[in-house]
Amino acid sequence: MSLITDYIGKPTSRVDGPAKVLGTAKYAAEFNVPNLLYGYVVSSPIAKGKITKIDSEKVRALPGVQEVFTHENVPNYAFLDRSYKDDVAPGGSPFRPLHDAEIKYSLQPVALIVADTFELARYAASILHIEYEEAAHETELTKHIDEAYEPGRGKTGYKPPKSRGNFGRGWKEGVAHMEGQFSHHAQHHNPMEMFASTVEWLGDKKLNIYDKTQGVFNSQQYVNKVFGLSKDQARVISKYTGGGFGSGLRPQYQLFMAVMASLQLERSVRVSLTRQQMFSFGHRPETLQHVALATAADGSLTGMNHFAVAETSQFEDFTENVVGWTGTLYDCKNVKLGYRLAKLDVFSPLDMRAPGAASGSIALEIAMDEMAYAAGLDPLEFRIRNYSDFDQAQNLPYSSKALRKCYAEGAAKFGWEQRTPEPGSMRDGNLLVGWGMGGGIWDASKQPAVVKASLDADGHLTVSSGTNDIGTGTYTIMTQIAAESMGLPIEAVTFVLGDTTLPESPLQGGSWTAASVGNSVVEACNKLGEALLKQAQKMDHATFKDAKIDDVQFVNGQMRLRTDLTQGIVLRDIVQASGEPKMEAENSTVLTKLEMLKPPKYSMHAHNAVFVEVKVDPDLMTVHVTRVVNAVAAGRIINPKTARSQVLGSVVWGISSALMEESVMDHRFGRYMNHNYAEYHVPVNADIHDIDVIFVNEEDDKVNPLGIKGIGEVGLLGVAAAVANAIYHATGKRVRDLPITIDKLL
Amino acid sequence: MIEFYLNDQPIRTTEAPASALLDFVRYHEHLMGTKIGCREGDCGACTVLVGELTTDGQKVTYQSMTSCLTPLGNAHGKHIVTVEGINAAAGQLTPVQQAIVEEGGSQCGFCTVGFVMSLTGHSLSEQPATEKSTIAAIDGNICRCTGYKSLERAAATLTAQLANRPTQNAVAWLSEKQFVPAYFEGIPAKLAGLRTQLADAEAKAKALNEASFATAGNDAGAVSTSPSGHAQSQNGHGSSFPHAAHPLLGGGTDLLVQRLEELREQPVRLVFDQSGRRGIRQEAAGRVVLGAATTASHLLESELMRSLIPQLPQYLKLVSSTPIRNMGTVAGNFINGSPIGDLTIMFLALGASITLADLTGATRELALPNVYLGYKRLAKTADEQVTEISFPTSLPGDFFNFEKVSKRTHLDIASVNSAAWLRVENGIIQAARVSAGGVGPVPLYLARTSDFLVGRELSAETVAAANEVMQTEISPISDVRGTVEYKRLLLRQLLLAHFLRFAPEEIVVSNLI
Ligand SMILES: Cc1cc2nc3c(=O)[nH]c(=O)nc-3n(C[C@H](O)[C@H](O)[C@H](O)COP(=O)(O)OP(=O)(O)OC[C@H]3O[C@@H](n4cnc5c(N)ncnc54)[C@H](O)[C@@H]3O)c2cc1C
Ligand code: FES
Ligand code: FES
Repeated sequence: MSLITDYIGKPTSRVDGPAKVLGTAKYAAEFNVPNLLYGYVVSSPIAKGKITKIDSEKVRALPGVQEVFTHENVPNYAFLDRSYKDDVAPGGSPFRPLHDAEIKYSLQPVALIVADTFELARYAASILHIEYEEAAHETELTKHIDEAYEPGRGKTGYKPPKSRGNFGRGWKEGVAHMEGQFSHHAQHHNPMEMFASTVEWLGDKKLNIYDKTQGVFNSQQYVNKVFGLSKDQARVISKYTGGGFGSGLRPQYQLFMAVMASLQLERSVRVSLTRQQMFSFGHRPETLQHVALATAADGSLTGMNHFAVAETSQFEDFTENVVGWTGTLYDCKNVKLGYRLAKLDVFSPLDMRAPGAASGSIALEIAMDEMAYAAGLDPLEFRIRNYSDFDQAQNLPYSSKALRKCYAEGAAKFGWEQRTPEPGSMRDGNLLVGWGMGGGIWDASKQPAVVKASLDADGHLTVSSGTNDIGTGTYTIMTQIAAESMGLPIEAVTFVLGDTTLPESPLQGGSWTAASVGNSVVEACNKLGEALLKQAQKMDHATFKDAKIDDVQFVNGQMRLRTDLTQGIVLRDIVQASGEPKMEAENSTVLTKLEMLKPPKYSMHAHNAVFVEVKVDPDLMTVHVTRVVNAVAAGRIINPKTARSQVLGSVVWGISSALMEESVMDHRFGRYMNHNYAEYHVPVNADIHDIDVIFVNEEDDKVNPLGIKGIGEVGLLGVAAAVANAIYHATGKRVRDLPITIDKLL
Repeated sequence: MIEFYLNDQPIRTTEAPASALLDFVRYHEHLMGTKIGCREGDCGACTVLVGELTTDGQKVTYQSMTSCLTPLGNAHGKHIVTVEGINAAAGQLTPVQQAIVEEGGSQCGFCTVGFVMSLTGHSLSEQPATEKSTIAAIDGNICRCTGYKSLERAAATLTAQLANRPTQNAVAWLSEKQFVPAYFEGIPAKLAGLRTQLADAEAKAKALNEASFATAGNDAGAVSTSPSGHAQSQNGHGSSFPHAAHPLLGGGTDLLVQRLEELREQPVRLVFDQSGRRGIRQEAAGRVVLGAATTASHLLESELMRSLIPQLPQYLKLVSSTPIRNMGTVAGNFINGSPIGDLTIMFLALGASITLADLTGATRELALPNVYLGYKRLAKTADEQVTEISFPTSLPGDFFNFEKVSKRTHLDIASVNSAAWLRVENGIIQAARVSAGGVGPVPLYLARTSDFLVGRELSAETVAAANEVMQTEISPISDVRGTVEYKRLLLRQLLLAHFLRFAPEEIVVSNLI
């Protein structure tokens, strides 16, 4: 029987949709705080050197300018590096805004002007006079490969890639080979909303901080440590976030600026960055990669070698898993992996949607295509022959793995069997047609998260946790899970997030929110269920007298006896009988934390397979991605509507990586020359054609109770490589340096 | 004083006319529904509707504009609509909003209001809504999250609903169907009232300042801003009227990106709504004349232009985006002097001249190629204003083509662009004009290439030889849009493309490459 309060797995419109179309959803820069001052950041035009002189007299003389903050007058806050480390800070010394005269990278913030109006602050910033002494900068990764080193201390959770077997032997055993150098440029997250913090001064160093972030607790602990404020003094709120893609994992410098100015001036202050300044912090690092593959006569891989060098800043070792996936995705005894960093005069890179995997899979999946051609096999057939049924990297079985289904269903939908392998062999009129494929793998992980469930006497359930919704659909899926768990109609449930006064939750990243918070929602609701049962038993209600929690179910607004579904009690009545305005319960994270300490029993991953069609104009070499089929295996899909959106968006990211997106460094000045939306290209509607998303059925009772693997990132993997492979198939030109702009094809 | 309606409220402000409408709406009116994603006209998050009373005073026509680049002064006398102005009472959703919610067209939501406004603007448009035109209405909106597919489905829902929109009295129908609130029906009368009132005030001011140089069509230029950023009304002070040194501001799509802070600090001469600066007409002397403040959208809507250049809609689709085309003027494109200005390149091949007027009203005419002296250096004094643009009417059978290569389909500056006009008789080229952008410090009229073509046979050999000449006439530099070699190659391909489109039979590609 399908019950009306069963919501999990059903396409559900976003509960936050109305607020967003009405424009009433408030983002960090939109809280109308009384007597607000506006801060505008001045950025360094040079990449390296020091500030020799700041002449702020003219600016200070402008009526309405409250203060000009520079390293000369910002007080010394916390002394230790440790205090500036946020939850996801890599090893090294975090950047301290307005700390000293030294310039470490281009667009480094050098001053904050605080004024009565935004326009005045902006004008003042345009006339502030600062002199610099320039030093030689190094921004070219290719020149620093020789100095690259193996990072010892990376980010929390970073593990160096592990080689196995003997690649040299595997290479010799092979009868067909491929070897190639791959590269892609840096990319910036560029969420639509620019970073902003509105700090409301409540008196006595008590602050409400509306911050653009992917984790309110991360921002809070940063503010606590840097400024020596208590949790009570620094409440961080983030109800809506206009996109993150990883950029909001670390507190950005506007948070420091706004809090500092608020404490100094004892006023409410807002600091918003500009689009240009969105290029002044973390980014996906440029990488240079080398891949070599060998196969036996039957097309099985005998050896794999994947080596990557990535940029990092002079002050932190940003690490990500670029090559590690190569050891997992395909079956091969001899795998050699290497990963190194080179220091440049840039800001520390930062996790960006599918960090590491997005970069690594470009090289690996193009290389797999090249290998398939060298071995005389169809690229899909080649991958199936090297299918990994057991995770050789971790030496663990998979908790579940439906990648075969992705291959089969994706290929069927796309019509892959119609493909003729010869490059240039397919045409649509004058246009060259190319079909290519790729795929990927992403971690299914889970973090401790506390959730509170509270049912009031009107029968309304409020479920809360200090997690985030950067556009992923957290509000909606948590509402669905809670509604189904408590058997309430979705309208009777509100999910509250984005506030440090709520129970603690991890930051939103790694595609783990659905699993982490979702399972906690179930736990909290179960606890509430137990409390409701107890209360019912106190009431004069014979039905539930001896019932245990497993004997009851919550459905259609009632608690019912499983053995006799006609026997039920309306939840609202139970709360009313308790005499309290509401009944509450909270889950405990002790178990999750214990689980995390134990060595894992399974390798837990989501997978995908992507099929791409391109059409190329043979005269102008313009490329259009006309069709994409992306088949994803990501465990249980809580909401096919929001999940589909995530994957559609990911596909567009993949196309963008393949054809447009790059932060172009002008090495003469050590700065990104396309630091705006006009020149940093992301696709517009007209660039995007047919996209099909398939969620293959994948049941997994081992990964977590709800069987969720997360879909925020996996959908992006393999897309860029599949586009590159399709272009090869269309034109016979193998481009290994992304994005593939026309000049590389002419 | 700038006066207009913001949603259902009358506004009178002394803020600087070069202020961004966006800042006014968000920081002065505290309406936070309009978002900021770039402040450069690229993302569309700040899209608002701008309603203008028709000359007959009967109707208001609405266009989408990016408020980050709309000079506040250009709002004068108009109806500015933000999302707050279309939201129905009590959190009810309009059909546009409903469609976006139902189709999952919003993720992080930061772009969403922009899409809502563009689609609402489209529903107010007088053109019939087709699948294509609805999608085209969101060509200026970027979304980083959704991948656009859900928004396309929302657009499709909307197209279906708009099929029933009557051609007469559409606003009444739209308000009945809750696309817009009922107050929209009263806006024409309100703007007509404002128009009369402003005309009276202007007449009075004119009488007072008979001797002054009031060139702007409204008195918005009579407001200056103190350095503190607080505007002060200086009405009545003759000295505050715009004069020679004050910058000319058209649609603002170049100037507000580049010089907003600086422009807010001084009076400006507003051209966009200045009387006599619009309209496209055919003159008896075989020339087509357009007002300097003609926008790209006006070109698109002009039957005359479309009859002369049937492919114009396809060409203009490649130029910026709907909201920017609604704002950017032809003169602005010329005078901005960008080496890759699309309109400039088109008009160079059309053989255009401009009429310049100085402050005394004296005029002179200048052929467009002669306007450009060097990178952003023009043969025009600061006080001279472009009043008109004209070009010779083509004959039937004349060929015109425009090509642009850019990385992305909309909202992209060309890497290289080119236009060509040809007259051919019996296989022999009788007259030719070829232009190219992005291959030199200025938009180039390729005089030698054009001359070379004249008198030659229309053949692959001629194109190949013309390319040789052309390559010596250009001097591209390497930049973010490509290397020197790439640009040379691209231009060669574009020249080829012109001829391929003109005479696919005669020109065989394999003979060339
Ligand atoms: C997002 C975006 C995309 C764009 N895409 C394109 C594109 O694809 N192709 C393209 O060619 N351009 C593009 N542009 C540039 C711009 O839109 C055009 O150049 C536009 O035509 C400029 O007109 P405007 O009226 O807005 O100019 P304004 O910014 O108002 O003025 C530009 C210059 O012209 C002067 N000026 C204006 N009117 C007159 C006059 N009557 N007499 C004398 N001087 C005058 C001004 O003083 C100023 O120097 C784009 C701009 C943006 C923001
Ligand atoms: S803010 Fe991006 S177009 Fe105006
Ligand atoms: S929904 Fe996030 S940018 Fe469109």
